[in-house]
Amino acid sequence: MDVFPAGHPLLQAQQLKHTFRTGRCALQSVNVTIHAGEMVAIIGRNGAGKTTLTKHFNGLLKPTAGTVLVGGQDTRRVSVAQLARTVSYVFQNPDHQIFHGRLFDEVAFGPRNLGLSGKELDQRVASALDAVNLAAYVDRDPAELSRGQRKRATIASVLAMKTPVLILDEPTSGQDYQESRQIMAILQQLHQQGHTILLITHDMELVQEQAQRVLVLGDGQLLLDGSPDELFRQASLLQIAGLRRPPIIDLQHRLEELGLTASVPTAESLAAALASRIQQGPSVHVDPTPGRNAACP
Amino acid sequence: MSLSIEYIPATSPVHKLHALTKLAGALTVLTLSMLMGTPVPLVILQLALLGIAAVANVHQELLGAMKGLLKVAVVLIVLQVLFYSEGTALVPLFAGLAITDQGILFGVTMALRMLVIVSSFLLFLMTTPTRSTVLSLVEYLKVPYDYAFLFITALRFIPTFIEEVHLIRQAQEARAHDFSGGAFSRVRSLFPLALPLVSISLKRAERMAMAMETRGFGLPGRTHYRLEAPEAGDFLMMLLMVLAVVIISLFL
Ligand SMILES: Nc1ncnc2c1ncn2[C@@H]1O[C@H](COP(=O)(O)OP(=O)(O)OP(=O)(O)O)[C@@H](O)[C@H]1O
Ligand SMILES: [Mg+2]
Repeated sequence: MDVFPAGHPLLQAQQLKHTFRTGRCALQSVNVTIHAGEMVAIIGRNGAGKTTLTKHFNGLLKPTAGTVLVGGQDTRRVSVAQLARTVSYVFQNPDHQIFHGRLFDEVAFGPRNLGLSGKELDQRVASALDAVNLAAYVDRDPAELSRGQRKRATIASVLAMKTPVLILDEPTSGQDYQESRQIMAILQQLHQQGHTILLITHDMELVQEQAQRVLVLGDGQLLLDGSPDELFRQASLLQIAGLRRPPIIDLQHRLEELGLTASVPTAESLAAALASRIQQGPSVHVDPTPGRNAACP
Repeated sequence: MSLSIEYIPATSPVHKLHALTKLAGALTVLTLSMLMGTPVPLVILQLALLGIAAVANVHQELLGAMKGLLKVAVVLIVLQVLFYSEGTALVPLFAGLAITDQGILFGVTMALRMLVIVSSFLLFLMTTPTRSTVLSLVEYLKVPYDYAFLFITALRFIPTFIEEVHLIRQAQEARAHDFSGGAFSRVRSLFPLALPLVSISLKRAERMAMAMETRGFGLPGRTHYRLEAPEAGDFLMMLLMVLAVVIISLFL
């Protein structure tokens, strides 16, 4: 973070193409720049190329055409282990990385590879485990944890590395509501501390509430690079990308069509706008026809 | 190098043959290659295999595999040449060892034999759907279905396994783990790869067993949806194979 001042172009994909050896073209000419300090959500259907794109940003995959720069360096010229000092990555499946018999060691693996030891290491592991609510399991075998807990363990193992950039592949999948909120809270906190965060997700509410910038991928192409607001306005794009607006945004847009605007789409602001409108009198036209939208008696 | 052991779908006379016939063919080649003690007939046999591969339109794949096998062949030859002591010494080596004419001959023969045997089985696997193999093993050779299933599943999971190795490697490299290094530290550095691989594979086996049992695997009275019977051409081919073995064993 100190190395990269906010706004500095940190991750750059230029004309990035990736064709797998099977002949499958997973990315076709993607151009995108992520700046230091941004929090970006990446969405798209299954198989759209989200994982493929993000794996280019820590050098796990190399472009088959085009270039990817991390902190200005061409990923083809730097080893993954080297890039891991800048970018850390939480994989979709936690079982691809867990191998220690004790949670502490699992979380300490990354920081140890970065050369940390002693008090500093203990402290990082402890605070990372604390952040994901697993402090009580520090001496347990990760294999005994539930899948959701194992996923959080992998998040902790990356938090402990404290890299400037964090990439998370579906960090909230398989988490219950409270845990997924907590994970997001941690990410927000890291974001505020200056970390750059990229997260892949299928949770549209999360996109709406947390991201400043959204990348929509479809069939290996970047369909949109903009704010969540822009995304939710483009009905056709949403359809192509197989996405659905979160209900609250849907409600806001319906209300807008009826001439009722609430700037910030939260349940509270919409309720307040509605209440004040109702108190003013029935200028809101309510469809009287009973149908599938009719309320229960 | 790409060592393809997958079925390559196509319509060719070779693909059309019954699985049993092709299995018999591979075993015939195995027998013949054991009978042949000199390089020339082995080279002819290998050329014949390539011809069959061309008919089946899998020669590209077979050539690719042969390229990979060549490295193994070279190792085999070098080992034989170094440690074979009979025959006239051509070049004396240290510690009483020497390169002999017989050693070279023997090494080349061994390498060719390996090449022929592996090629013939590759040819069999590439032109026969595993389902047909299992079916004929179970129906005609009376192999218990469980074992046949074990065999086909093992084959089926090789690509998955390789994919998994890639992913685990990536996951550890992303945490700044270095897989390269000296010979000694190399072994240690493989733990982060081997351990998750074993645990994932065990978990998957367990999951798969459960999924199979819930769908009735192992109940008695298993029937097959498709039955494949050998045809006249198959019997003809098998007859030719027997003849080939008899004649060649008489002449060599
Ligand atoms: N190692 C690989 N070899 C061949 N094809 C691959 C490989 N990895 C991914 N693909 C293909 O590339 C395409 C994009 O895959 P990717 O994993 O990036 O999708 P994704 O957007 O992350 O999907 P999901 O939401 O399911 O995680 C898919 O069609 C997939 O089949
Ligand atoms: Mg993915």
